[in-house]
This record gives sequence, C-alpha cells and structure tokens, in this order.
Amino acid sequence: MRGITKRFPGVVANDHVDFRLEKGEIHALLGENGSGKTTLMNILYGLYRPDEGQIFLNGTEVHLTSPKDAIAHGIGMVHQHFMLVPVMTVTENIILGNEVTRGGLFLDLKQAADRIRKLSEQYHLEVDPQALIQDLPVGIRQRVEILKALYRQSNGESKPKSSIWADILILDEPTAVLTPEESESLFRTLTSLAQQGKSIIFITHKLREVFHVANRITVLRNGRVVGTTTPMETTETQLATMMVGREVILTVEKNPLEFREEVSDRKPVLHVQDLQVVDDRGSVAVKGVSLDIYPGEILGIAGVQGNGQTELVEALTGLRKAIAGSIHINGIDMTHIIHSGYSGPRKIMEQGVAHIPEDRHTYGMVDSYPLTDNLVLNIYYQKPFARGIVRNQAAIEEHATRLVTEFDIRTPSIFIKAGNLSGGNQQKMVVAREFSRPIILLIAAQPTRGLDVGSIEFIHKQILQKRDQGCAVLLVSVDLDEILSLSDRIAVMYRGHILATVDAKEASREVLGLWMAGIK
Amino acid sequence: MVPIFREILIPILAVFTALILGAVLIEISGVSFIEAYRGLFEGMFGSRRALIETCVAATPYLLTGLAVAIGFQGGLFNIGAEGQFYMGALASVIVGYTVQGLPAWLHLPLALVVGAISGAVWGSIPGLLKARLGAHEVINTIMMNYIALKLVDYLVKNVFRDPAASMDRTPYILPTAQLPRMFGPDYRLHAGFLLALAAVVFTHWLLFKTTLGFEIRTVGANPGAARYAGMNVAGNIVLAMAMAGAMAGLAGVGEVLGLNHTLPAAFSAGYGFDAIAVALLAKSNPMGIIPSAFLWGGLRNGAGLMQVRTGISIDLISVIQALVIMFIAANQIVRWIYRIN
Amino acid sequence: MGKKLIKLIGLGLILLLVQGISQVNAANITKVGLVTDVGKINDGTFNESAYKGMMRAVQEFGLKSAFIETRQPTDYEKNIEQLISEGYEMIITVGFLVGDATKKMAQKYPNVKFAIVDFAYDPPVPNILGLIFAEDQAGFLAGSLAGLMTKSKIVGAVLGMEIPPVVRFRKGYEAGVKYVCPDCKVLAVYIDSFTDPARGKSAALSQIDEGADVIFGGGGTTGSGAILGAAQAGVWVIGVDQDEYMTTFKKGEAPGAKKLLSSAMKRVDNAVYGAVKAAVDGSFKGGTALFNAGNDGIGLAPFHEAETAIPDTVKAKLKEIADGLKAGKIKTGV
Repeated sequence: MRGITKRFPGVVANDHVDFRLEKGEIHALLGENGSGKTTLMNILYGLYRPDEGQIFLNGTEVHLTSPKDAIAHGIGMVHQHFMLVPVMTVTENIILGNEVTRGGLFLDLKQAADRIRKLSEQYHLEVDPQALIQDLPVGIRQRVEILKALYRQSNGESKPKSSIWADILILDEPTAVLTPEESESLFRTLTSLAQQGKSIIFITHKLREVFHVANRITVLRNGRVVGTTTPMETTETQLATMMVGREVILTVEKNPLEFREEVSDRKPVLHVQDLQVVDDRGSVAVKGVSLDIYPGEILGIAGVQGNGQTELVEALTGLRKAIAGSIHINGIDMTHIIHSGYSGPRKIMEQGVAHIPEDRHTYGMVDSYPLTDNLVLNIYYQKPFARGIVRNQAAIEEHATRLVTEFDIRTPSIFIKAGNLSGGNQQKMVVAREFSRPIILLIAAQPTRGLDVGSIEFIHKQILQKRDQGCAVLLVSVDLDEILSLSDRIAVMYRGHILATVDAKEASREVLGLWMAGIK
Repeated sequence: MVPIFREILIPILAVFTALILGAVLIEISGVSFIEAYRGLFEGMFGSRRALIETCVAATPYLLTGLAVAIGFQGGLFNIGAEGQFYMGALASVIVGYTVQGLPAWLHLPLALVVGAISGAVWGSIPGLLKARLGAHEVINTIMMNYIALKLVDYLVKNVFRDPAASMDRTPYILPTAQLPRMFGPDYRLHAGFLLALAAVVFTHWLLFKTTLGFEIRTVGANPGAARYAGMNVAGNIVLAMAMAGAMAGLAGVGEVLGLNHTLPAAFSAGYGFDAIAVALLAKSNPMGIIPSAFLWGGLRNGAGLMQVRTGISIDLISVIQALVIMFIAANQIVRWIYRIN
Repeated sequence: MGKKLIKLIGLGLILLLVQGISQVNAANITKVGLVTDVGKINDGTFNESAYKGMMRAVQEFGLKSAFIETRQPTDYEKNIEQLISEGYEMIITVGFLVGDATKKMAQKYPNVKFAIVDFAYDPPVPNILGLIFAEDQAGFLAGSLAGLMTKSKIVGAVLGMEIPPVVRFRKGYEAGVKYVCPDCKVLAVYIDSFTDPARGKSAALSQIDEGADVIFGGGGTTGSGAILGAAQAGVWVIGVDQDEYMTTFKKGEAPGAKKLLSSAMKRVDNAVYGAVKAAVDGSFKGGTALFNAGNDGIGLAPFHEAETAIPDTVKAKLKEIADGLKAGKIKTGV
C-alpha cells in the first residue's frame, strides 16, 4: 500500500500511509485508538475507497471496490466485533454467503462440514462444525471467524481465481475479548498459519503481544506511519513512546504501604462475610466469599473471566441481589440493602463508594447523552446539580468543563454525545465521574480493558492516587499484569470461591497462573 | 442553530418529497395537482376560518402526539393513546353533566383533572405490567385500547345514554364544564388549544430541565445505566406511562369539553393511532410535536376543501401521511435523494 | 347633457343589477353538495345511492355539484360548513348519524336547503327535508325470500351499527322469515361499523358455520363484505339499499355473483333526486318524506343470475307479499 490517504469529515484518518506486508510474515499494526489502523485495513479489505494512493498485490496494482473483491484476491478479515449468527451452527455461519449447493438449490451442509473439518485440522483450529455459535465461548467464536476467512480463501482457490492472489489474513484487535489462555492459543494458530504461507496483519495496541508473535511492527499515530521496526530492534518503552508521541511510564511507580504494621487494628472499609450470589441463569456464581479491604490498600482479584467476579462486583454495588452473607461498609451494616435488590446502588454510593463497571456500555454511561449528563449520571439529583427537581444546567456544565480538563478527556466539546468518544475517553469519563466526589471505597472492574496505552497509564495513575489518599480499592481484572502492578494484596477467584490471598510482594505470575486454573 | 437545522432537515424534506409524490398521484388520477393543492392549502390556512379549524384539528394531535413522544423518551412504545384518549373523554363527560351546581371555575378544572387522571390510570396499567412482570407494553397497550373502546361503547349505550337523544350519546355537559370558545360561538376553537400548547411546553421542561425527566430519559436510553445511577427503573416506567396517559386523556377531554360537549357511542377518533406518526415526525421531541401536529391537523382539515374543489379522494391525504412516515422511518431514501449525509 | 347621460347609464346599471339579483332568487338553487356518513362515495350502498340520485338531478338541471367524504364523526359539521362557505345552496347529508350535525347547521344557515337520508325531525325543521324509508318492509321482503329459499331452516343477517334504520331492517327481516317459515331460525348480528368488510365477512362465515344457508347483509361495506364472502363460500345472499349485483358484484364480474338472490332496495337515489328536483323547481319544503312499498320507495331488486334457481312458486309468493305490504294488508309488526 502506497501513499494511502483517507479523509472523513473533520479528520484525516490516513495521511499518505505506506505499508508493506511480506509473504509469510506476521505484521503487527500498532497504534492508539483513533490512530487510523482500522481505517487502513478497511481500505485493504475493500470497505472504503482511499482518496489517494495505490494498493499493490504481488507487485500488481489492484482496485478493491468491495469486500467481495478483496476476498476474490485472497484477502480475508476477522473483525473486532464478530459477525456471526448466534442461532446458527458453525458450518452454517462459515458458508453464509458462500453456500455449497446441490442442484443449485439445496444446501450441501455435509460437504461443507467436511471441508471445514479438513481446514481446522490443517491449521490446528479445533472446532465442532455442528455446534451452535451461541453455545461457544468467545475464544472459539473467534476461531470460527478465522475459519470463515480461511474457508473463503480456500473457496477462491478451488474456483478459477483472480490472477492476483494474495493469501492475506487481517485480524482487527483479536485479543481484546480473549482471556490470557485464549490469546496464547490464538498466537500459536497465527504462527502456524504464517508457517504455511499465509501473510497476517495483526492490529493491536497491546505491546506485550507484539513481542510475542510479530515478525515486524508498523506504528501509526494520528493517521501517519511513525515507523516500522522488528521486535529485536526495539523495546516496549520505545514502542509506547512511538505510539503516544511522548514518553510513557509503563511500570507504575507505587508508594509503599505506609501503615502496613497498623493494619491489624484498623477497621476495614469493606467487610464481606460469606457472600453468595446467583447469576442470570439462576445458578450460584459466588459461593461464600469473605474479604476485607482496609483504607489505602488495593485488593486485586485475579481470575479467568466467568468465575464469579462479575456477580461479586454487582452484588457489592447493589446491582444484583445477594442470597446470603453480610456486608459492612465503613462499619455500617449494608446487608439488608444488598439483599433487597431495590435502590441498592444509590444507598451504597451515598456511603462513599465509587464503581467503575466492567462494561461501561451496560452500566457506566448513556451513549446518546452528552458528556455533561454522563458526568452527573448518578449524582444528578444532588446539589448543586439540582435544586428540588429542577436541574441546574450551569452547574452541570461547569462540572463537566472542570472534569474534562482534570481527567484529560479528549473531546471537541462537553456537548458531544458520549457514544461518539473513543473507548479510552469514555472510560476516562466514567473514572472522572466516579472520582469527582469524596469516596472511601473504589470498586473497579476491568478498568482498562480494551484501552490504549495512554489511557491505561492515566487511569492506573488515578487509581493509585486514590489509594494514596487513603481510599480502599477493590480491583477486579482478568489482566494479570494489571493486577500485579497495582495491587497490595492479591486474591484469586476460581469457580465462585476465593482460592487464595497473598501479599503482592510475594506473588509471582506463575503461581497466580496456576491458581487461576484452579490448581493449588 | 446549525445542529437544530440538521435535526429538522430530514422531516422537512420528507414532507416535501411526500407532497411531490402526492402531486404525481393526483395528476395520474386526472386532476390538476395545482388546483388540488390550492384547495388543500386554502383549506388549511387560506382564510381565518380555515386557519382556526386547523388549530381545532391540531389540538388533539398535540396532546396524543405528546403521549406517544413521552413514551418513546422513556423507552416505551405507547400504542395505547387511543384507549387513554377514550377514558379521558368518558371521565370528563361524566363529570361534565352529572356534577351540578358548581361554578365554572371549579367545575371545568374538575372535569379536566378527572379526565387527565382517568387517562393516566389507563396508561399506567400497562406501565405497571411492564415494570413488575416484564410484560411487553406494545401488546398490553393494544389490548387496553380494545377494552377502553368496548367499555366506552357499552357505557355510553347503556349507562350514560341520553334518553332524549335520537342517537346513542351521553347528555350534553353543563355550560359550566365547557372549555370557552376563543373566537365566539361562530368558531370552534376552544381553550383546549391553549391547554395543549401549555402541555407541550410543560412536557419539554419536565423532560429536559428536571431530574424527573432525566430519570425517565435515562431509563429509556439505557435501563442498566439507570439502575447503576440508583434510579427506580420500575417507578419511572410507570411514571412515564401515567404521564403519557394523562396527555392522551386530556386530548379526549378537549374534544368533549371544548368541541362536542357530548360523547357519542360512534366516536371513532383514531387520534391515538395517528399520534404515533405525529410523534415519529417530531422525532419524539415535545417541541417538534407542534409543527408535526399542525401538519397532521392541517392536512386533515384541508382535505375537505380539496375534495370540494376537485372531487379527489380524501384517501390521498392518508397516502401523503403514510409517505411522510415512510421517509422518516427510512430516512436513507431522503438522504440519498438530496445527497445529504 | 353629459351629466344626464351618466345618470341614465347609472340608472340602467342599477336596474340591470336588481334584475340580476331577482333572477338568482327565482332560479332557486344552482349548486348542490353532499356530505357522506363516515365512508366513501363509492361504497356500493347508501352513500353511493344518494350520490347517484343527486348526480341524476345535477345532470338533468345543469347544476354544479361537489361532495365531501367524511372520515371522522366529529367532522360532519365542519364538512357541511365547508360546502356552505364555498357557496353551495343545498346540502344532502347521508345517514342517521349526521342527524344532529345537519340540524345544527340548518339552524345556523336558515337560507340553505338540506335533505337528509334516514332521519326525521320531530318537530320538523323548516329547511330540512328528512327522507325516511320503511326499512322494515324492505327487510320483510328480504326475510320472506330468505325463508322461502333456505334448506337448513337457518338464515343469517350481518348488520351494521345498531341505529334505528338498521334495527328496522333486522326486525322486518326476522318478521319476514317467520311469516313464510315459522320454524326457521334467524342468526343476526350487529357490527359497530359501516366500513369494515373484513369483519362483515368473518361474521357471515361464522353464521355459515352455524348452519345458515342464506345471508342478508345490511350495513354499508360491512354488509357488502359479508355477502361477498358468503356468496364465495357458496351460500345464497341478499344485498341491501341498492341493487348490489350492479355494485358489490360488479355487474356479475365479481366471483359469487350467481349466489346473489336479490337486494332489499331503498330507493335512496329516487328520494334524493326528488328532493333536489323540488329545490330546483321551488317546491322544496321542510318536513319528512316517507318512502315505502306503497310509493315504490322500497322493494326487491331483480334476481339477475339467480332468476332460474328461484322456483316460480317462490316468486309468486313474493309477489303476493309485496302486494300485501303495498295494500297495507300485511303488517311487519315493527
């Protein structure tokens, strides 16, 4: 790709981008959110037409006008958001749009399933062709997406194919939704695909992954190529600097706990005893969890997604009814509130509890609201934002203006709909709101999932700052690095139980990894 | 100013395009569209009487349009405005003719309030069913429409029938319960029109300037976020439906206390259903209801003169209205025609 | 001299003008308009029938005409006023439900002449002529025909809204059935709309399920829907108001036309024509005009395609009943 330029109203998404992909390599495309990675790949996949620039495949210039066109040239893409029909089987999803028929009318599912099985053996992508998508975990769904792309390519091979055949696979932030093990498995697959001659473009903003799998790395910033390098020639810090455009501190500086010694005679801010919670399907997801968090410490809860962390957090914040157990916040018994299920979130918040929810789109924000309203989402009724029932627009705007500056939320205006902000800025908005009032306890669930390096750094700093101010913090994350770098104590959750709790200084990645897998 | 312009551009173009297609249809049926539209527009606002009659026709649309828009703001599809309209009309006519000996300054407000409450109760029933049992409001508001229709029909024919009347209708309400006519007895425009405009302004204020409205809108936009923010989701659903019901009820009240002064059994209004279109055209914005209701009322009012002048079927008006809604719902068509993005 | 001339011309002009005005007065009406009940001008029943009568007069006397199809009951008054404001001097209103609105407008505009189908005022209004029909007699004839033709001894009737003219149709129909077939059963249902063919059809089909083999449809397009559906389901049907063979069954082109026995006609067209004619020739007077068997205001329509299927004995019996009604020897009991 040479000199690719793409403008959208108000922004230049790609500014004369040159990009070279060699045969059989895994090429990481690195950049912060909004740096133009996805736009560039959408151009290669025929979704957008570039305003300027050319695309060459095997040295010949091509004009890709649609994904169909791209597929015909051997280019496959796995999108960040899966495009699968949940109620259909793996086979049906894969052949969708490329149906194999008998007599032009009847689906030949058997033949298709055979081909899929063959493909999955060839590339070590194990999947049951008859399974329904809705029954599969995220990691397997991603395999299905990859298989779909491969299937289309193999389909092209069997047909009289275009003279220019590229064999390219594009993956847009494939690890954003995966657990650590699932990511590992994906990396093995990618390596094997590359060895068999596929060329792979891997879009990401996670530095560690780049070193893991990529042969070469191209960094984009503000729509321009900052540079291309290899894992051998660079370091994480250098890459981060290239991405963000300034120096980034990757390892967080943490002050030691000053009051370690006195902990025993301090009162816990959060005291949880034998908490039991059921999930949406009615089975017990939290099976008697007890924990204490003291002022000025961060308790990290590690664990593979789906081991009851979500339900635990929802119960502690009043969003989900607990079926047994007790809770004290700052010594006040809140048990009746988390058992009743009504008006829980407000009563708990009013005790000085902040909550950064795990999925900001489900709980943390209203996409269609401007920043102003989102920044008072749960304190809208308090002074000075309301007098009686009348809202005080001036105070709300002033509040928003202050927080946008204080928390470095990048937005053209405080009246922009929150849904139009980038993920990092949305999360900063949630953090800003929760930190804008006096709090004694912070419950942060996956606070940096899917964010870019700059935002992660910023949010980590904010959390540590709260801790240093004496706030108790419950940090729930599936990202072991995050847990290790922030926590004072670490608990591992497995199948609804807290398997073990250790001092962060004594914890090692290996031991925690074993505990997360349930081995102790 | 510019964003507001962008907001209203699509509706305006939708109306414009629908009128053009309507003109083509008129020409096909062998009538001059210029003559037909001249009749239509003169019937809408070509004379003092026409303009006043357009206001008369817009009045119920203002209120039922609000009823649907409030529902939309609260994330609810209120198809029940028709039933709520009936219950408001019924309650107000009963108060209007049975309560005797009250002065007008007491009788009229009483009839208004009872009518509004009646609509509110009718609206809040499907709200409660949704909030407590998760029963879908679309199904239940439709069912409540049937119940209201049949109930009113039965009561007017059997319980509240005026024995002196030749047709099935209630007795006339007392003069003390009548909404005063604004331009004398010769013109039908009544004070309900001002009431409807006030309701629009009030609803706008409530939805966008108060914490109550903020809660209703948050529940509508993202129930999860509303719960997270400590709002009472169930309570706000009921509140939104009750408010919507009160507005639709008031529409029925206005027709009875201001226009007919009685409630006939054969009172098939249809305002509650047209209201869905009115609210869609207004993009559920209370202020947008004003032009939207005037358009609907005007078209309905102007259709008569159009038919007198050219003999063209009044169904053409329904076709134009349907086209407007189609262009609003599938606004990509309009964007494509006029090359806007 | 000049002044005199101008005076003369002025005088002449004034004379001409006075002459012109008196001529307008003498010519009575030149513009006649019609307001329908909720429904269409081509509904195949009473709106259409009234319109045809008006148009016959319009063509004969060279009048200007217009009509408004009412969509909502609340619009009756407005529609009447709309025509008046356009200079229409005579207004025909169709249907019992327009009764109140017609009276109100007649009192507001005493110089405008009104004629209303299916309504009589007591006391009469000086500028309204009420055109009413002996629906009971028309229904009686339809009932006799149904009673004579049924094999199952069950006959049906799908009626419109429960308003006096429709009630008279029903009672006359029931009496007619019993008159020729005392042990026959009549299934009758009111539907609260004159414009809902689908509900009319489903009501008719359920009566067929109950065993009815003759269906009488009386009530706007609701009744037309009933007989159209029933005829296509293969049972005998009887229409109403005008000869539905010509309207609902499109002169025999609509499927099921051969199952239409006849129609219980109200000569609404004749009545309206007569009213307009009176207004043109200056003999118009407010009051009530009754149309019945005696003055051929009601009667059965031709049998058309059913002609051969109806036995001569039945035809003879019908003739006998019609004569009896005419002479007042047979009473419908309504």
